[in-house]
Amino acid sequence: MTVVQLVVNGLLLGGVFALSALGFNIIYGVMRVVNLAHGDVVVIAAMVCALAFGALGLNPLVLLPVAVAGGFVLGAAIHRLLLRRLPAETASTEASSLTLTFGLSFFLAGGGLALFGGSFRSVPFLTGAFDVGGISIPQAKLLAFALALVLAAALAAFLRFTAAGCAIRATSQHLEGALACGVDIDRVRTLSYGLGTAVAAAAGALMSMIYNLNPQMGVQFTVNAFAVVVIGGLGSYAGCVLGALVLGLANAFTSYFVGASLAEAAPYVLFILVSLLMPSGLLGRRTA
Amino acid sequence: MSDDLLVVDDVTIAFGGVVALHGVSLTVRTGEVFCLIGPNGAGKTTLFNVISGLLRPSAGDVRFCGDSILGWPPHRIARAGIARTYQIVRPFSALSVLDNVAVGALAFTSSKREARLQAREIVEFVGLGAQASRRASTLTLTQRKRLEVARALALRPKLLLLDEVMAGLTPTEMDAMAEFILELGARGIGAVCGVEHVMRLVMRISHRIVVLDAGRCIAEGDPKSIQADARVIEAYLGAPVREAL
Repeated sequence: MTVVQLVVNGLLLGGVFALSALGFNIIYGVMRVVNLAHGDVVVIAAMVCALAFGALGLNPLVLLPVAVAGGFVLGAAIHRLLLRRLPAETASTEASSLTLTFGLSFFLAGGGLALFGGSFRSVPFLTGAFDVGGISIPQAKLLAFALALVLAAALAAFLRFTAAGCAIRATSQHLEGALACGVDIDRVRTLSYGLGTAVAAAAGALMSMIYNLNPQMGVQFTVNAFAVVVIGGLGSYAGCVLGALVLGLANAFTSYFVGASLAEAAPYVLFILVSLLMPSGLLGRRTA
Repeated sequence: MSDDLLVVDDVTIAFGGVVALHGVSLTVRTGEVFCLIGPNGAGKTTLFNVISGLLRPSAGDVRFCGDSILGWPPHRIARAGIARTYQIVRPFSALSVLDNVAVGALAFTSSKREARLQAREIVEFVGLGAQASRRASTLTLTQRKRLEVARALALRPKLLLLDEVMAGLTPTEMDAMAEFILELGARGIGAVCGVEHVMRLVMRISHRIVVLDAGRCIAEGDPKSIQADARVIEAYLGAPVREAL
Protein backbone atom coordinates (compact mmCIF):
# COMPACT_ATOMS: atom_id res chain seq x y z
CA MET A 1 0.00 0.00 0.00
CA THR A 2 2.85 2.34 0.85
CA VAL A 3 4.32 1.81 -2.59
CA VAL A 4 1.04 2.69 -4.31
CA GLN A 5 0.80 5.80 -2.17
CA LEU A 6 4.34 6.78 -3.12
CA VAL A 7 3.62 6.22 -6.81
CA VAL A 8 0.56 8.46 -6.56
CA ASN A 9 2.57 11.14 -4.74
CA GLY A 10 5.38 10.89 -7.27
CA LEU A 11 3.14 11.12 -10.32
CA LEU A 12 1.19 14.07 -8.95
CA LEU A 13 4.44 15.92 -8.28
CA GLY A 14 5.85 14.88 -11.66
CA GLY A 15 2.98 16.55 -13.49
CA VAL A 16 3.94 19.96 -12.15
CA PHE A 17 7.64 19.28 -12.80
CA ALA A 18 6.68 18.45 -16.38
CA LEU A 19 5.03 21.81 -16.91
CA SER A 20 8.03 23.72 -15.60
CA ALA A 21 10.41 21.63 -17.70
CA LEU A 22 8.35 22.16 -20.87
CA GLY A 23 9.03 25.87 -20.56
CA PHE A 24 12.73 25.22 -20.10
CA ASN A 25 12.71 22.89 -23.10
CA ILE A 26 11.05 25.32 -25.49
CA ILE A 27 13.57 28.04 -24.64
CA TYR A 28 16.50 25.67 -25.10
CA GLY A 29 15.03 24.21 -28.28
CA VAL A 30 14.51 27.51 -30.08
CA MET A 31 17.32 29.63 -28.67
CA ARG A 32 19.92 27.12 -27.43
CA VAL A 33 19.83 29.11 -24.21
CA VAL A 34 20.14 27.19 -20.95
CA ASN A 35 17.85 29.42 -18.95
CA LEU A 36 19.36 29.53 -15.47
CA ALA A 37 16.73 32.06 -14.34
CA HIS A 38 13.93 29.56 -14.97
CA GLY A 39 13.49 28.39 -11.37
CA ASP A 40 13.60 31.94 -10.05
CA VAL A 41 10.60 32.82 -12.20
CA VAL A 42 8.82 29.75 -10.78
CA VAL A 43 9.50 30.88 -7.23
CA ILE A 44 8.70 34.57 -7.79
CA ALA A 45 5.36 33.59 -9.33
CA ALA A 46 4.68 31.37 -6.33
CA MET A 47 5.46 34.28 -3.97
CA VAL A 48 3.15 36.65 -5.82
CA CYS A 49 0.36 34.06 -5.78
CA ALA A 50 0.83 33.38 -2.07
CA LEU A 51 0.64 37.09 -1.28
CA ALA A 52 -2.36 37.68 -3.55
CA PHE A 53 -4.13 34.70 -1.99
CA GLY A 54 -3.36 35.91 1.54
CA ALA A 55 -4.12 39.59 1.03
CA LEU A 56 -6.93 39.54 -1.53
CA GLY A 57 -8.23 36.01 -1.12
CA LEU A 58 -7.85 35.41 -4.86
CA ASN A 59 -8.56 31.85 -5.93
CA PRO A 60 -5.57 30.04 -7.56
CA LEU A 61 -7.80 29.35 -10.55
CA VAL A 62 -7.96 33.12 -11.05
CA LEU A 63 -4.27 33.56 -10.30
CA LEU A 64 -3.16 31.00 -12.87
CA PRO A 65 -4.13 32.95 -16.00
CA VAL A 66 -2.69 36.10 -14.41
CA ALA A 67 0.59 34.23 -13.84
CA VAL A 68 0.61 33.05 -17.46
CA ALA A 69 0.02 36.56 -18.81
CA GLY A 70 2.48 38.17 -16.41
CA GLY A 71 5.11 35.55 -17.13
CA PHE A 72 4.73 36.05 -20.86
CA VAL A 73 5.17 39.81 -20.62
CA LEU A 74 8.18 39.41 -18.31
CA GLY A 75 9.81 36.84 -20.59
CA ALA A 76 9.19 38.81 -23.77
CA ALA A 77 10.62 41.93 -22.09
CA ILE A 78 13.72 40.03 -20.91
CA HIS A 79 14.32 38.84 -24.45
CA ARG A 80 13.76 42.22 -26.10
CA LEU A 81 15.83 44.17 -23.56
CA LEU A 82 18.61 41.72 -22.69
CA LEU A 83 19.00 38.43 -24.52
CA ARG A 84 18.64 39.72 -28.06
CA ARG A 85 21.38 42.26 -27.48
CA LEU A 86 23.92 39.48 -27.19
CA PRO A 87 26.10 39.16 -30.28
CA ALA A 88 24.24 36.78 -32.59
CA GLU A 89 25.43 33.52 -34.15
CA THR A 90 28.95 33.52 -32.83
CA ALA A 91 30.63 30.64 -31.09
CA SER A 92 30.41 32.46 -27.77
CA THR A 93 26.64 33.05 -27.89
CA GLU A 94 25.83 30.02 -25.76
CA ALA A 95 28.43 30.98 -23.17
CA SER A 96 27.34 34.61 -22.99
CA SER A 97 23.66 33.70 -22.72
CA LEU A 98 24.57 31.36 -19.87
CA THR A 99 26.32 34.19 -18.06
CA LEU A 100 23.38 36.49 -18.70
CA THR A 101 20.73 34.12 -17.35
CA PHE A 102 23.01 33.32 -14.40
CA GLY A 103 23.10 37.03 -13.55
CA LEU A 104 19.37 37.28 -14.12
CA SER A 105 18.85 34.43 -11.68
CA PHE A 106 20.75 36.34 -8.96
CA PHE A 107 18.85 39.49 -9.78
CA LEU A 108 15.46 37.78 -9.48
CA ALA A 109 16.39 35.86 -6.35
CA GLY A 110 17.78 39.01 -4.69
CA GLY A 111 14.86 41.13 -5.86
CA GLY A 112 12.45 38.50 -4.56
CA LEU A 113 14.18 38.51 -1.18
CA ALA A 114 14.02 42.31 -0.99
CA LEU A 115 10.35 42.40 -1.97
CA PHE A 116 8.93 39.37 -0.23
CA GLY A 117 11.39 38.65 2.58
CA GLY A 118 12.91 35.27 3.33
CA SER A 119 9.96 33.58 4.98
CA PHE A 120 8.29 30.51 3.52
CA ARG A 121 4.91 31.04 1.89
CA SER A 122 2.29 28.90 0.22
CA VAL A 123 -1.32 29.00 -0.93
CA PRO A 124 -3.42 27.00 1.56
CA PHE A 125 -6.15 26.10 -0.93
CA LEU A 126 -8.14 22.85 -0.89
CA THR A 127 -6.21 21.44 2.04
CA GLY A 128 -8.32 18.30 2.31
CA ALA A 129 -7.61 14.90 0.79
CA PHE A 130 -9.61 12.22 -1.02
CA ASP A 131 -9.37 8.73 0.37
CA VAL A 132 -9.42 6.12 -2.41
CA GLY A 133 -9.20 2.64 -0.93
CA GLY A 134 -6.72 3.68 1.72
CA ILE A 135 -4.68 5.83 -0.64
CA SER A 136 -4.69 9.47 0.30
CA ILE A 137 -4.88 11.92 -2.59
CA PRO A 138 -4.43 15.52 -1.46
CA GLN A 139 -6.95 17.70 -3.29
CA ALA A 140 -4.50 20.54 -3.92
CA LYS A 141 -1.95 18.20 -5.49
CA LEU A 142 -4.61 16.60 -7.66
CA LEU A 143 -5.83 20.01 -8.84
CA ALA A 144 -2.27 21.20 -9.53
CA PHE A 145 -1.57 18.00 -11.46
CA ALA A 146 -4.75 18.35 -13.54
CA LEU A 147 -4.11 22.02 -14.30
CA ALA A 148 -0.51 21.25 -15.26
CA LEU A 149 -1.72 18.63 -17.72
CA VAL A 150 -4.31 21.01 -19.17
CA LEU A 151 -1.65 23.70 -19.67
CA ALA A 152 0.84 21.24 -21.14
CA ALA A 153 -1.83 20.02 -23.57
CA ALA A 154 -2.68 23.62 -24.49
CA LEU A 155 1.00 24.31 -25.15
CA ALA A 156 1.30 21.19 -27.30
CA ALA A 157 -1.81 22.19 -29.26
CA PHE A 158 -0.42 25.69 -29.74
CA LEU A 159 2.84 24.31 -31.11
CA ARG A 160 1.10 21.82 -33.37
CA PHE A 161 -1.86 23.69 -34.77
CA THR A 162 -1.03 27.39 -34.98
CA ALA A 163 1.09 29.29 -37.44
CA ALA A 164 3.32 30.66 -34.69
CA GLY A 165 3.73 27.17 -33.24
CA CYS A 166 4.78 25.89 -36.64
CA ALA A 167 7.43 28.63 -36.87
CA ILE A 168 8.69 27.77 -33.38
CA ARG A 169 9.03 24.08 -34.20
CA ALA A 170 10.67 24.79 -37.54
CA THR A 171 13.19 27.13 -35.91
CA SER A 172 14.14 24.64 -33.22
CA GLN A 173 14.57 21.84 -35.77
CA HIS A 174 16.62 23.70 -38.37
CA LEU A 175 17.59 27.33 -37.87
CA GLU A 176 19.01 27.99 -41.34
CA GLY A 177 16.01 26.32 -42.92
CA ALA A 178 13.67 28.59 -41.02
CA LEU A 179 15.68 31.63 -42.13
CA ALA A 180 15.41 30.51 -45.74
CA CYS A 181 11.64 30.15 -45.29
CA GLY A 182 11.31 33.79 -44.32
CA VAL A 183 10.72 33.10 -40.64
CA ASP A 184 11.46 36.18 -38.53
CA ILE A 185 13.78 34.45 -36.06
CA ASP A 186 13.95 37.42 -33.75
CA ARG A 187 10.18 37.42 -33.24
CA VAL A 188 10.11 33.65 -32.83
CA ARG A 189 12.72 33.94 -30.10
CA THR A 190 10.82 36.67 -28.25
CA LEU A 191 7.69 34.55 -28.45
CA SER A 192 9.51 31.42 -27.27
CA TYR A 193 11.20 33.10 -24.34
CA GLY A 194 7.87 34.69 -23.42
CA LEU A 195 6.09 31.33 -23.66
CA GLY A 196 8.78 29.52 -21.68
CA THR A 197 8.63 32.13 -18.95
CA ALA A 198 4.82 32.08 -18.94
CA VAL A 199 4.92 28.34 -18.43
CA ALA A 200 7.46 28.73 -15.60
CA ALA A 201 5.20 31.28 -13.91
CA ALA A 202 2.21 28.95 -14.29
CA ALA A 203 4.23 26.13 -12.74
CA GLY A 204 5.06 28.51 -9.88
CA ALA A 205 1.39 29.29 -9.32
CA LEU A 206 0.72 25.54 -9.08
CA MET A 207 3.81 24.85 -6.92
CA SER A 208 2.56 27.39 -4.40
CA MET A 209 -0.39 25.07 -3.73
CA ILE A 210 1.92 22.14 -3.00
CA TYR A 211 5.06 23.53 -1.43
CA ASN A 212 6.17 26.05 1.14
CA LEU A 213 8.54 28.24 -0.83
CA ASN A 214 10.83 31.18 -0.28
CA PRO A 215 12.55 33.41 -2.88
CA GLN A 216 15.91 31.66 -2.46
CA MET A 217 14.71 28.30 -3.74
CA GLY A 218 14.81 29.07 -7.44
CA VAL A 219 18.02 27.15 -8.10
CA GLN A 220 16.35 23.94 -7.04
CA PHE A 221 13.62 24.36 -9.64
CA THR A 222 16.12 25.30 -12.33
CA VAL A 223 18.06 22.12 -11.60
CA ASN A 224 14.80 20.17 -11.61
CA ALA A 225 13.78 21.49 -15.00
CA PHE A 226 17.25 21.02 -16.46
CA ALA A 227 17.46 17.46 -15.11
CA VAL A 228 14.02 16.60 -16.49
CA VAL A 229 14.95 17.89 -19.94
CA VAL A 230 18.23 15.95 -19.94
CA ILE A 231 16.56 12.80 -18.62
CA GLY A 232 13.82 12.98 -21.22
CA GLY A 233 16.10 13.94 -24.10
CA LEU A 234 16.86 17.52 -25.14
CA GLY A 235 14.22 18.89 -27.45
CA SER A 236 11.74 16.05 -26.97
CA TYR A 237 8.41 17.17 -25.53
CA ALA A 238 7.15 13.66 -24.81
CA GLY A 239 10.50 12.90 -23.19
CA CYS A 240 10.06 15.97 -21.04
CA VAL A 241 6.79 14.66 -19.59
CA LEU A 242 8.24 11.18 -19.11
CA GLY A 243 11.39 12.56 -17.48
CA ALA A 244 9.31 14.68 -15.12
CA LEU A 245 7.24 11.71 -14.01
CA VAL A 246 10.42 9.70 -13.43
CA LEU A 247 11.86 12.55 -11.37
CA GLY A 248 8.62 12.91 -9.42
CA LEU A 249 8.68 9.21 -8.57
CA ALA A 250 12.37 9.32 -7.63
CA ASN A 251 11.63 12.29 -5.40
CA ALA A 252 8.72 10.56 -3.63
CA PHE A 253 10.60 7.31 -3.07
CA THR A 254 13.78 8.99 -1.87
CA SER A 255 11.82 11.16 0.57
CA TYR A 256 10.17 8.11 2.06
CA PHE A 257 12.98 5.57 2.11
CA VAL A 258 16.05 7.77 2.52
CA GLY A 259 14.83 11.05 3.92
CA ALA A 260 13.34 14.32 2.72
CA SER A 261 16.63 16.17 2.88
CA LEU A 262 18.15 13.78 0.34
CA ALA A 263 15.19 14.01 -2.05
CA GLU A 264 16.74 17.20 -3.38
CA ALA A 265 19.67 15.11 -4.56
CA ALA A 266 17.41 12.93 -6.71
CA PRO A 267 17.63 15.11 -9.82
CA TYR A 268 21.42 15.20 -9.63
CA VAL A 269 21.68 11.43 -9.28
CA LEU A 270 19.27 10.80 -12.17
CA PHE A 271 21.04 13.44 -14.23
CA ILE A 272 24.38 11.69 -13.79
CA LEU A 273 22.96 8.21 -14.38
CA VAL A 274 21.16 9.18 -17.57
CA SER A 275 24.16 11.15 -18.85
CA LEU A 276 26.36 8.09 -18.32
CA LEU A 277 24.03 5.36 -19.55
CA MET A 278 21.78 7.05 -22.13
CA PRO A 279 23.52 10.24 -23.21
CA SER A 280 20.70 11.27 -25.55
CA GLY A 281 18.02 10.83 -22.89
CA LEU A 282 15.11 8.43 -22.60
CA LEU A 283 13.35 9.66 -25.74
CA GLY A 284 16.08 11.79 -27.32
CA ARG A 285 17.19 11.39 -30.89
CA ARG A 286 20.35 9.34 -31.12
CA THR A 287 22.11 11.80 -33.37
CA ALA A 288 21.50 14.76 -31.07
CA MET B 1 18.50 47.70 -67.12
CA SER B 2 14.98 47.50 -65.76
CA ASP B 3 14.74 43.73 -65.99
CA ASP B 4 17.87 43.23 -63.88
CA LEU B 5 16.59 41.10 -61.03
CA LEU B 6 19.74 40.57 -59.05
CA VAL B 7 22.96 42.51 -59.26
CA VAL B 8 26.00 41.35 -57.36
CA ASP B 9 28.44 44.21 -57.55
CA ASP B 10 32.13 43.68 -56.83
CA VAL B 11 31.53 41.56 -53.71
CA THR B 12 34.52 40.65 -51.57
CA ILE B 13 34.39 38.64 -48.38
CA ALA B 14 37.25 37.47 -46.22
CA PHE B 15 37.27 35.12 -43.26
CA GLY B 16 40.33 36.09 -41.29
CA GLY B 17 43.11 35.92 -43.87
CA VAL B 18 41.20 33.75 -46.34
CA VAL B 19 39.56 35.69 -49.13
CA ALA B 20 36.58 33.52 -50.06
CA LEU B 21 35.19 35.87 -52.71
CA HIS B 22 37.31 38.40 -54.52
CA GLY B 23 35.47 41.17 -56.38
CA VAL B 24 32.71 38.96 -57.76
CA SER B 25 30.10 40.63 -59.95
CA LEU B 26 27.15 39.17 -61.80
CA THR B 27 23.71 40.14 -63.03
CA VAL B 28 20.67 37.88 -63.25
CA ARG B 29 17.66 38.96 -65.31
CA THR B 30 14.04 38.02 -64.76
CA GLY B 31 13.23 34.48 -65.83
CA GLU B 32 16.84 33.72 -66.63
CA VAL B 33 18.68 30.56 -65.63
CA PHE B 34 22.10 31.53 -64.41
CA CYS B 35 24.62 28.86 -63.58
CA LEU B 36 27.46 29.32 -61.19
CA ILE B 37 30.04 26.70 -61.87
CA GLY B 38 33.34 26.02 -60.26
CA PRO B 39 35.26 23.33 -58.45
CA ASN B 40 34.67 22.50 -54.80
CA GLY B 41 35.75 25.43 -52.61
CA ALA B 42 35.42 28.00 -55.39
CA GLY B 43 33.04 30.13 -53.32
CA LYS B 44 29.63 29.20 -54.74
CA THR B 45 28.00 28.50 -51.40
CA THR B 46 29.64 31.59 -49.89
CA LEU B 47 28.11 33.69 -52.67
CA PHE B 48 24.68 32.15 -52.00
CA ASN B 49 25.09 32.93 -48.33
CA VAL B 50 25.94 36.54 -49.13
CA ILE B 51 22.92 36.93 -51.42
CA SER B 52 20.52 35.37 -48.91
CA GLY B 53 21.84 37.54 -46.07
CA LEU B 54 23.54 34.89 -43.94
CA LEU B 55 26.92 36.50 -44.54
CA ARG B 56 27.78 40.16 -44.89
CA PRO B 57 30.44 40.96 -47.48
CA SER B 58 33.52 42.95 -46.53
CA ALA B 59 33.02 45.11 -49.63
CA GLY B 60 30.68 45.44 -52.55
CA ASP B 61 26.91 45.60 -52.93
CA VAL B 62 24.00 43.28 -53.64
CA ARG B 63 20.90 44.76 -55.28
CA PHE B 64 17.58 43.01 -55.79
CA CYS B 65 14.89 44.63 -57.96
CA GLY B 66 16.91 47.82 -57.77
CA ASP B 67 17.23 48.01 -53.95
CA SER B 68 20.39 47.31 -52.04
CA ILE B 69 19.65 44.37 -49.76
CA LEU B 70 22.96 44.58 -47.94
CA GLY B 71 22.41 44.25 -44.20
CA TRP B 72 18.80 43.08 -44.52
CA PRO B 73 18.00 40.22 -42.14
CA PRO B 74 17.66 36.85 -43.94
CA HIS B 75 13.89 36.58 -43.41
CA ARG B 76 13.32 39.96 -45.05
CA ILE B 77 15.37 38.94 -48.07
CA ALA B 78 13.43 35.68 -48.26
CA ARG B 79 10.11 37.50 -48.12
CA ALA B 80 11.25 40.02 -50.71
CA GLY B 81 11.48 37.14 -53.16
CA ILE B 82 14.85 35.40 -52.93
CA ALA B 83 14.36 31.80 -51.89
CA ARG B 84 17.14 29.29 -51.57
CA THR B 85 17.96 25.68 -51.05
CA TYR B 86 20.93 24.36 -49.14
CA GLN B 87 23.68 22.15 -50.46
CA ILE B 88 23.16 19.80 -47.54
CA VAL B 89 19.41 19.18 -47.66
CA ARG B 90 17.89 19.11 -44.23
CA PRO B 91 14.14 19.22 -43.77
CA PHE B 92 12.36 20.16 -40.55
CA SER B 93 12.61 16.51 -39.69
CA ALA B 94 9.83 16.22 -37.11
CA LEU B 95 7.30 18.15 -39.19
CA SER B 96 5.16 16.56 -41.90
CA VAL B 97 6.13 17.13 -45.52
CA LEU B 98 3.12 19.42 -45.89
CA ASP B 99 4.03 21.48 -42.83
CA ASN B 100 7.62 21.80 -44.03
CA VAL B 101 6.29 23.65 -47.04
CA ALA B 102 3.66 25.49 -45.01
CA VAL B 103 6.43 27.19 -43.01
CA GLY B 104 7.42 29.03 -46.18
CA ALA B 105 3.82 29.86 -47.07
CA LEU B 106 3.36 31.41 -43.62
CA ALA B 107 5.43 34.34 -44.84
CA PHE B 108 2.29 35.56 -46.60
CA THR B 109 -0.56 34.40 -44.41
CA SER B 110 -1.02 34.09 -40.69
CA SER B 111 -3.54 31.29 -41.13
CA LYS B 112 -2.17 27.79 -40.79
CA ARG B 113 -5.09 26.43 -42.81
CA GLU B 114 -4.44 28.80 -45.70
CA ALA B 115 -0.70 28.05 -45.55
CA ARG B 116 -1.44 24.34 -45.74
CA LEU B 117 -3.71 24.82 -48.74
CA GLN B 118 -0.97 26.67 -50.59
CA ALA B 119 1.57 24.08 -49.46
CA ARG B 120 -0.62 21.26 -50.77
CA GLU B 121 -0.52 22.71 -54.28
CA ILE B 122 3.27 23.04 -54.26
CA VAL B 123 3.78 19.59 -52.77
CA GLU B 124 1.71 18.13 -55.63
CA PHE B 125 3.66 20.21 -58.13
CA VAL B 126 7.03 18.78 -57.04
CA GLY B 127 5.58 15.27 -57.02
CA LEU B 128 5.45 14.62 -53.27
CA GLY B 129 1.65 14.49 -53.03
CA ALA B 130 1.64 10.88 -51.85
CA GLN B 131 4.08 11.67 -49.04
CA ALA B 132 2.39 14.89 -47.86
CA SER B 133 1.38 13.69 -44.42
CA ARG B 134 4.55 11.73 -43.68
CA ARG B 135 7.26 12.96 -41.38
CA ALA B 136 9.97 14.62 -43.44
CA SER B 137 12.63 12.46 -41.78
CA THR B 138 11.25 9.41 -43.63
CA LEU B 139 11.98 10.80 -47.11
CA THR B 140 14.73 9.55 -49.40
CA LEU B 141 17.51 11.90 -50.52
CA THR B 142 15.84 12.65 -53.84
CA GLN B 143 12.54 13.33 -52.13
CA ARG B 144 14.30 15.59 -49.64
CA LYS B 145 15.82 17.54 -52.50
CA ARG B 146 12.36 18.05 -53.95
CA LEU B 147 11.03 19.04 -50.56
CA GLU B 148 13.81 21.60 -50.25
CA VAL B 149 12.74 23.10 -53.57
CA ALA B 150 9.07 22.98 -52.57
CA ARG B 151 9.85 24.83 -49.37
CA ALA B 152 11.62 27.51 -51.39
CA LEU B 153 8.75 27.78 -53.90
CA ALA B 154 6.28 28.37 -51.07
CA LEU B 155 7.84 31.81 -50.68
CA ARG B 156 6.63 32.66 -54.21
CA PRO B 157 10.14 33.73 -55.14
CA LYS B 158 11.19 35.90 -58.02
CA LEU B 159 14.61 34.36 -57.75
CA LEU B 160 15.55 30.88 -56.64
CA LEU B 161 19.07 30.06 -55.45
CA LEU B 162 19.75 26.37 -55.90
CA ASP B 163 22.94 25.26 -54.19
CA GLU B 164 24.44 22.10 -55.72
CA VAL B 165 21.12 21.07 -57.24
CA MET B 166 22.55 18.13 -59.10
CA ALA B 167 24.64 16.65 -56.29
CA GLY B 168 23.65 13.14 -55.31
CA LEU B 169 21.14 12.66 -58.13
CA THR B 170 21.12 9.82 -60.65
CA PRO B 171 21.38 10.80 -64.34
CA THR B 172 17.63 10.37 -64.82
CA GLU B 173 16.86 12.51 -61.80
CA MET B 174 19.29 15.14 -63.08
CA ASP B 175 17.36 15.33 -66.33
CA ALA B 176 14.12 15.74 -64.41
CA MET B 177 15.70 18.50 -62.32
CA ALA B 178 16.90 20.23 -65.47
CA GLU B 179 13.37 20.18 -66.91
CA PHE B 180 12.10 21.56 -63.65
CA ILE B 181 14.61 24.43 -63.68
CA LEU B 182 13.66 25.31 -67.25
CA GLU B 183 10.02 25.35 -66.21
CA LEU B 184 10.84 27.92 -63.53
CA GLY B 185 11.99 30.30 -66.23
CA ALA B 186 8.67 29.81 -68.03
CA ARG B 187 6.91 30.83 -64.82
CA GLY B 188 8.97 34.01 -64.65
CA ILE B 189 11.19 32.85 -61.81
CA GLY B 190 14.89 33.55 -62.19
CA ALA B 191 17.22 30.84 -61.01
CA VAL B 192 20.82 30.80 -59.92
CA CYS B 193 22.16 27.27 -59.84
CA GLY B 194 25.38 26.25 -58.21
CA VAL B 195 26.80 23.25 -59.97
CA GLU B 196 30.13 21.57 -59.50
CA HIS B 197 30.28 19.52 -62.66
CA VAL B 198 27.63 17.91 -64.91
CA MET B 199 28.58 20.27 -67.72
CA ARG B 200 26.23 18.57 -70.15
CA LEU B 201 23.20 19.86 -68.21
CA VAL B 202 24.69 23.21 -67.37
CA MET B 203 25.22 23.89 -71.06
CA ARG B 204 21.65 22.87 -71.82
CA ILE B 205 19.77 24.89 -69.18
CA SER B 206 21.86 28.03 -68.75
CA HIS B 207 21.25 31.35 -70.36
CA ARG B 208 24.45 32.58 -68.84
CA ILE B 209 27.28 31.12 -66.84
CA VAL B 210 29.83 32.45 -64.43
CA VAL B 211 32.85 30.36 -63.61
CA LEU B 212 34.28 30.78 -60.15
CA ASP B 213 37.70 29.58 -59.17
CA ALA B 214 39.29 30.19 -55.77
CA GLY B 215 36.87 33.07 -55.10
CA ARG B 216 37.36 34.88 -58.39
CA CYS B 217 35.20 35.14 -61.50
CA ILE B 218 37.41 33.66 -64.15
CA ALA B 219 34.88 33.74 -66.97
CA GLU B 220 31.38 34.90 -67.75
CA GLY B 221 29.25 34.38 -70.79
CA ASP B 222 26.78 32.18 -72.65
CA PRO B 223 27.33 28.41 -72.73
CA LYS B 224 29.14 28.47 -76.08
CA SER B 225 31.77 31.00 -75.12
CA ILE B 226 32.36 29.31 -71.75
CA GLN B 227 33.03 25.98 -73.41
CA ALA B 228 35.67 27.57 -75.56
CA ASP B 229 37.33 29.54 -72.76
CA ALA B 230 40.88 28.46 -72.13
CA ARG B 231 40.89 29.57 -68.48
CA VAL B 232 37.84 27.43 -67.76
CA ILE B 233 39.42 24.42 -69.31
CA GLU B 234 42.50 25.06 -67.22
CA ALA B 235 40.55 25.42 -63.97
CA TYR B 236 38.70 22.20 -64.62
CA LEU B 237 41.29 20.06 -66.27
CA GLY B 238 44.52 21.59 -65.06
CA ALA B 239 47.18 23.31 -67.15
CA PRO B 240 47.61 21.88 -70.61
CA VAL B 241 50.27 19.24 -70.87
CA ARG B 242 53.04 20.75 -72.91
CA GLU B 243 55.45 17.90 -73.00
CA ALA B 244 54.66 14.53 -74.32
CA LEU B 245 55.27 11.78 -71.85
